[in-house]
Amino acid sequence: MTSISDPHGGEEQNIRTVRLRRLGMFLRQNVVAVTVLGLVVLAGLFAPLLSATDPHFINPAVRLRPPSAEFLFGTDPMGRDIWARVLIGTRASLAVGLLVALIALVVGMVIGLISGYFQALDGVIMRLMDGIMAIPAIILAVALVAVMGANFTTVVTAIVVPEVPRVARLVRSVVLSLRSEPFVEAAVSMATPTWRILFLHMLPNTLAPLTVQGSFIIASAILTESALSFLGVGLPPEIPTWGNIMAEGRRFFQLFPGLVLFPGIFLSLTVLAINLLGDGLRDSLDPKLVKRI
Amino acid sequence: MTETQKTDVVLDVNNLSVSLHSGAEIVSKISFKVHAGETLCIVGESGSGKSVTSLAVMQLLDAAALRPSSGSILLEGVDLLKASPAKLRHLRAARMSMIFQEPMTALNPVEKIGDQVLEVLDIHNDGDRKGRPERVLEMFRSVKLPDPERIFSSYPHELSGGQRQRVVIAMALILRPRLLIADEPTTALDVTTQAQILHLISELQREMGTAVLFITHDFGVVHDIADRILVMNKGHVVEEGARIDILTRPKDDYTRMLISSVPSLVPVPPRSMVAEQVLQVEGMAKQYTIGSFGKRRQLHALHPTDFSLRKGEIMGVVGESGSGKTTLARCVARLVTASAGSVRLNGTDIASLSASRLRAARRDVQIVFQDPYRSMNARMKLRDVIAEGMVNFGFSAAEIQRRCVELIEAVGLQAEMLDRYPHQLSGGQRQRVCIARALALDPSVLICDEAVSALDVSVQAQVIRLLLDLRDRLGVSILFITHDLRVAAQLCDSVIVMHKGQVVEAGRAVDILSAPEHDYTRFLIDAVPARDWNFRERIA
Repeated sequence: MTSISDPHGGEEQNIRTVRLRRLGMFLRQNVVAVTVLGLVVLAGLFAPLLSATDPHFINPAVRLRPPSAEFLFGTDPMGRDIWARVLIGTRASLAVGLLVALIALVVGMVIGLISGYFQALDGVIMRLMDGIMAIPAIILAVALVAVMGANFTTVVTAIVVPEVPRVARLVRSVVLSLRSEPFVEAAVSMATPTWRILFLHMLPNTLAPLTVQGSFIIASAILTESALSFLGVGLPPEIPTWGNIMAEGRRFFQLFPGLVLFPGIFLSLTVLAINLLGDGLRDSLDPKLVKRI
Repeated sequence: MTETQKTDVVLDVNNLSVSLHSGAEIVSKISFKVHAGETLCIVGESGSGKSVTSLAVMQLLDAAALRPSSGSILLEGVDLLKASPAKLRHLRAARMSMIFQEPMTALNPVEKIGDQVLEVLDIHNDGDRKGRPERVLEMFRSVKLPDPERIFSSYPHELSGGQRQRVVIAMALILRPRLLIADEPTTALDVTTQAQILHLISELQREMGTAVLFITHDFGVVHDIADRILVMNKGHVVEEGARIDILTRPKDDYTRMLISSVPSLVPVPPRSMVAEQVLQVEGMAKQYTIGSFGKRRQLHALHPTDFSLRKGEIMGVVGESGSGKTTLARCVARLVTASAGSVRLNGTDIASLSASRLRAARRDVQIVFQDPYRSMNARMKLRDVIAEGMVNFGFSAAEIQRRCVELIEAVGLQAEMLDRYPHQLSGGQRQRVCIARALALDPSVLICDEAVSALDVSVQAQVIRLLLDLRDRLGVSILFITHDLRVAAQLCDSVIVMHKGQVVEAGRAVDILSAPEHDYTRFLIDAVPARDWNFRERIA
């Protein structure tokens, strides 16, 4: 028997170098998005250090001040420092975004895996998902707040529910195409238990599209949370979020546009950066969409 | 070919190189000529640069990746590398045209066949507008399409693969081009359809005096149609010459190795088969219900089938696509459950086992698939790929480690490769790993579903030797599904011939391949290209 010569060498080392190089390239190509997002996250983490005043401190003596050296973004109708409030609001927005994405991905993934792999359940599960997808997010949120009251859990639930079917559909489509792949059939013929097939062979192949989808969910969740807060059905007004700050400032918008503009700029930049990063992720994780050699 | 034709050079490729933008040469300084009425076959294994050469002639290279870096391509004196896009558009179809490998994707699925062919005439504004449909029908008749009027107004999905390839040929030849490039035009077709298409191409060529540049990896086809042969390897021309010279007196070692790797259709001498039976299949059948409400009907993928397999026997299951060979394999491996009948493996009927008891029985029958690129999870190291079955059956870590090394060495690879990922291997190496994985559980029956069909002929020969060697050493029985009668002749002790879900003939390989009784078997054997030519023995 002839043995085949080895066309490659130094493998493990090579793979690590290639991965590092790919990460480096990804960061270079998405330098704007990464920088903006990095700054926003740092601002949220170190909010108390970046402003001298307490974002909750009401001081009627300095109400509705324009931007100045003392109050970078000015003050709101109750004399609270907008800069401090916008910085601390970053936390709520990012927390909602990340938590929604995490829950939606995990729940949607489990549903998608089951629906895609077990054909008997597919029809029922997917019709249920279609039903959920038909409910507009904002209306669901208003209904939930009416029943459960405005709090963090309600807001997260309201945003998660309409996202789950999208994730489930995505995972299901990947599973359906993998089901008939020879490597899955080989696993079946080797008596690999179903749960192992799902988690060992199917799941890793869904991670790339899920990462991309996850980034878009974060962006859309941040936006929805702000919209809900702005409408008064989001997080309670005592928690500073970008939506809440804008809602409180809207009556004075014509006189003091900074009340809406500053949190609005933070919101837009964050969502834009996350979306750009999502596009970048898709380009590097799903090379079929990029025509490049 | 007459002398006057010989001077009539249609295509003159001179010192052509094609490079990646990074500078690496895919095709290096190749030169060849094709004369009117002549067929030049370019043969080579995958990656030899033969398709890139044909695309370079048509100027269809993917400009984002490849560019011709030097040389010239003269089509009747016009240098294609210097021609403007408008000039090229004019030359394509009118003076040179191409038939691609995959007739399923070469036609637009949402446009009627007739309109697609008419388009060629419309674009080139060729002839009287009113007379064009009749010209298309005339062309359909000359490529021997049945019922041309119906086909004219059909969509591609309503035609069989062979009919589609005929349409593509009609489209390519309707403007009577001087040069026809055929890139593996019959590789995706069944052997009987292939024979008809090859016959058709040479008939039309004789009639029109077209120069044909035929790209193929199949020496049988080369033997049947070539006037001259050009052998390529790794982007270089290895040698070029008249058909008979190359096939009988190759000068280069690479050509010699390629030609001697072509399996002979003469079966190997039979071995005596006295060992005990490991697999007995009785009345096994599979039917599917297709259609929806009101229009349900039964599709018989496999009619009741009986056969048995002895220890150490290699049984070939041969037939064309749709004959039910893969359904048979999948029923035996219980990847699908047979609708009727029994599959006794070492005495246990696996067709009727419950899911939990089936799991234990799976050890005894393992399967190797056709496509080595899709048969392994790309994210797993070879060690984990091979170990998967052993992990399922509770082998100890030390045992798994020992077996992995043993198995990868048994299939001719090195133990260091266990830490690699599948994408770091060649196609042949991957197929070896798939075989190692299938053998990890010591199965008594190994099913190979077209396991060597996707491999180059030299690699194919290595894998066939490996299978024979494993059979001798381990005594494993092999159910070998193939459409390639040459491979079956070299490997199998017995053969069953399938047609439309039924076994039409079964028996010893030597009997069936040298003295077939059933008409279909004879038909199948007659369609094998170069059936009377034993490549290995003819080399001087």
